[in-house]
Amino acid sequence: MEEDRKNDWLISQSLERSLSIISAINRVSIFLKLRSVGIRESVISEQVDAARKLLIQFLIALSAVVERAAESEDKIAFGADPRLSTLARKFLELSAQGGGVVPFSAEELKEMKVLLEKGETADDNVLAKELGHLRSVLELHSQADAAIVFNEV
Amino acid sequence: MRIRETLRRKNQDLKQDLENVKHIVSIARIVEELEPYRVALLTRTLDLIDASRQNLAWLDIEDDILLPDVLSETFILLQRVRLIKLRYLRGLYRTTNWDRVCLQTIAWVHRRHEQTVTYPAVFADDDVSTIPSKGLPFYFFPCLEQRGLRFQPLFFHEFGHVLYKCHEQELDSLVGDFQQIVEAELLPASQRNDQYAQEQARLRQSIVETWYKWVQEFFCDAVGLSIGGPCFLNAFSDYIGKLQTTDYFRQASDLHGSSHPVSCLRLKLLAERAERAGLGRDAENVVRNWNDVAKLLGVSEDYQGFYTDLIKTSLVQTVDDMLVEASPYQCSEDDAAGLGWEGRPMNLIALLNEAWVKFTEDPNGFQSWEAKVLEETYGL
Repeated sequence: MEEDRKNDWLISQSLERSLSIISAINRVSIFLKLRSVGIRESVISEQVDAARKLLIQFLIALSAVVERAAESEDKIAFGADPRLSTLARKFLELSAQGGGVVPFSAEELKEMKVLLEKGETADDNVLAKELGHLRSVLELHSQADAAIVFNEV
Repeated sequence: MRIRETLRRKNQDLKQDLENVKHIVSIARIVEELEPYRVALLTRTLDLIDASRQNLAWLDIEDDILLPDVLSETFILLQRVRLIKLRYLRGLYRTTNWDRVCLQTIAWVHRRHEQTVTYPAVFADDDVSTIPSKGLPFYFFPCLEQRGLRFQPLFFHEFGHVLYKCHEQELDSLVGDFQQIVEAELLPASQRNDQYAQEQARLRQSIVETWYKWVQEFFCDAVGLSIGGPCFLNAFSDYIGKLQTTDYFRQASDLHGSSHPVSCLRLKLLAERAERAGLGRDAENVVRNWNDVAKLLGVSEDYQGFYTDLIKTSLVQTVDDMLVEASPYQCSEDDAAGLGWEGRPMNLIALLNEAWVKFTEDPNGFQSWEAKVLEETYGL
């Protein structure tokens, strides 16, 4: 009921979602990198599988939001929470800049999803690099939410 | 590499913090209603201790290629430890016997809905609000109101946010359909192609996105009414009415991106819903009170283009559809009349409605009646 933003349900949910997704990126990225240098983790293929699934779901949702925002005259993704819409617009803006800041569009998000689905047959280096870029955008986004949740502003 | 040592030390510090949290949580003397929360919090803390151990193990691998990932994992761990310290520990660290009132309300409403039946009850001191995480929602409630019955129904609104989270995909879709109506009805596209048109586009975007949050608030108000009936309507009206002009009117700049619609609009739409549910007398009373205050303040309602009657039918229909999807508990006629609350197990909704009947009939005698109920029913 309150307007105090530190307990704002939307911001808190957005932060929790970002932390989960970034953690999933890290889990898959570490797995790929260790495999590339010939280290097999004794753990935990279930953890990596769960992380892959979470990332695939997120990429499906995010690319759908990016597409909806791209189609709308006002860059509105109807039915998406405003923090996810803001993230989607970041991708649209970055794509429009074209300067290679972060090489993502809705199509490229879908390509990353395909790479994740390929599993063993994907190019580990390409996937790890793209995950790193996605992580950098999400970290910026989550830091804005964290600043509010933790009363830093 | 120095960064490796920095990360190692940071993870060791976080691990130590978490061990301290584990100790505090384990030994805290708490009311029995908080035990499920203690278990949930300990589980979460142990998971984070495992995460710190995992980070330390990765740091033992000599190859530097993992360092960016471990840095990011350490950032995640740091944020999660902050959440434990600044939010989750608060639910357990300052507990008193009085917490039983709120905890029993939260536990009751969780038990009544199949999606939340296993969710532990917890809250901390603050204005009424919630963080509706799946599995471990966290509620806030003001210190004084914790110690009484009259405002307990406000938890039902907050529970609406939890219910939304449980049905997020379906409800987001309904909200999306309504946002398109808002855009079409309230915000005709500009025919111009200049700076003015860009500014208009930005405003349209802001209004439509603001409605994402507003629809959820209207839905939660309706959930509160569905569960509590008249006690929710009365508690809601009393609590959100601040006797100020901003209850009726806010500057457009304050409305853009706001999390809550203008209070008067919420109250009136809720009262109309209550009237349709057969609670005409209560609805009439609260609306009359709000109109009296508006008259004395000399304000009239103004929603700055965010709301007009053009979208009312669609808004009401959208909230109705959301209620069908989420299916909250429905207050019965006996609940609403406050009948039979003394049974075992106690009928909470009937008790909360009886509290408002008593308060309305005899405000001066209410406190002694409430004290007796709290003593006999809650052991306070």
